[in-house]
Amino acid sequence: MQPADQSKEQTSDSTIVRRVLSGEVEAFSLLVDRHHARCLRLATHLLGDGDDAEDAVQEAFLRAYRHLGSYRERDRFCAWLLRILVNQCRTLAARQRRWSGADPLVAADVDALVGDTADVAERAAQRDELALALSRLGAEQREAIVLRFADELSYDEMSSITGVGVSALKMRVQRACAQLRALLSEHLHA
Amino acid sequence: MREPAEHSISSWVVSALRTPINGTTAQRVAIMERVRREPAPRRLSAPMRASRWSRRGLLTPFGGMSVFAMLVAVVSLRALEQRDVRGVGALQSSIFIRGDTVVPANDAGHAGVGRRDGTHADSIAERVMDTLRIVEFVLRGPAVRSVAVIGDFNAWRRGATTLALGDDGAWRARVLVPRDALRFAYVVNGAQVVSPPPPRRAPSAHRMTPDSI
Repeated sequence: MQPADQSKEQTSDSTIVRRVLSGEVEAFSLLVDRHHARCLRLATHLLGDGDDAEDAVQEAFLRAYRHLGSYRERDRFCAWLLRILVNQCRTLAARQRRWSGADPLVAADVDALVGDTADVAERAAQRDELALALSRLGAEQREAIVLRFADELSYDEMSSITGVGVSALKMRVQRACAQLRALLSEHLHA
Repeated sequence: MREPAEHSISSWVVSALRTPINGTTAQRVAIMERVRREPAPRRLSAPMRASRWSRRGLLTPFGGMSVFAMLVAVVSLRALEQRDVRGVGALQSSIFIRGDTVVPANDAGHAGVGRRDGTHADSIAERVMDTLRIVEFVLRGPAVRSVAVIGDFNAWRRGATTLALGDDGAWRARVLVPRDALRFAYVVNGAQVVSPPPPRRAPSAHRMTPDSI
């Protein structure tokens, strides 16, 4: 989601899109800078692999650029971009069958990028547990829980992005939460 | 709004999921490099695909059903007309030649006399006369509500020559027909075109053989 304290003078996504469509290609870098981190976090959690996530994000931005002419301003650009990204992640995961292959490097990458020095070991252990638990969830449940909690999306926004009904998404989140709790509890008590 | 208990997970899990992953500048630069190699995007102005009509509310389910119902109604009416004519039963047509008349050959239309602009003929070509036959079409049959005759003489225009119902129950019309305009047909009840066989000259008087259709 857009930060709540986004300054009003910041150029809106729609304005940037209009500039790009009018031939100002470099304006697209504003969109990349603005949404790259969010896309990367989402793709990392969905794919469980930093390199795959980077590829997916790059491809999603490229597809968004190619099809910018079909973007309609009644949609939020970020939601439109996330829809492309989620589809890209699905395609990539199906092709490489890596939904279940959690990469232990993800947690290390996160720590390195965040650069937090406090309780690094404990947090790294927790992220390992989480990455492992997420990797054991089904693709749909993993997608639902990541969109719901990592990206703080409402169910309506999730429905718009995934193309799945709100009721089905609620059910997926509920089951994913239950399964995740069980998996984490199992690991923590193992 | 607070999440239901079954829709929630531990706070540390949420915190871990929300931990920002800031990409590197190199990653963003790589994206822009690939973007620059792409052709410039253009705003699409293609007509909306039919499949999106319903999604946008232009073709609601009710609208779709209405269009389908209208199509069914048109087809049904057509079928009813055909059935109506088939139910007319046997028709009997007679064609009588009541005489000949002479009109200028180059006049606009055979039924009129003289030039339309009111001037007199001033050339030999304009004084050439044509002989037309006065033909009476007669049609009898049960359940007939309207009859028209179409042919070369009225350029096959429906409704140009309608037959009137007489006291004897026969439908009649008198028209001027060129000698070479031998092809014609009836339109019964506004639907079916009934084509009689070519007229044959009657052996006596000016009567042509009645044709049973």
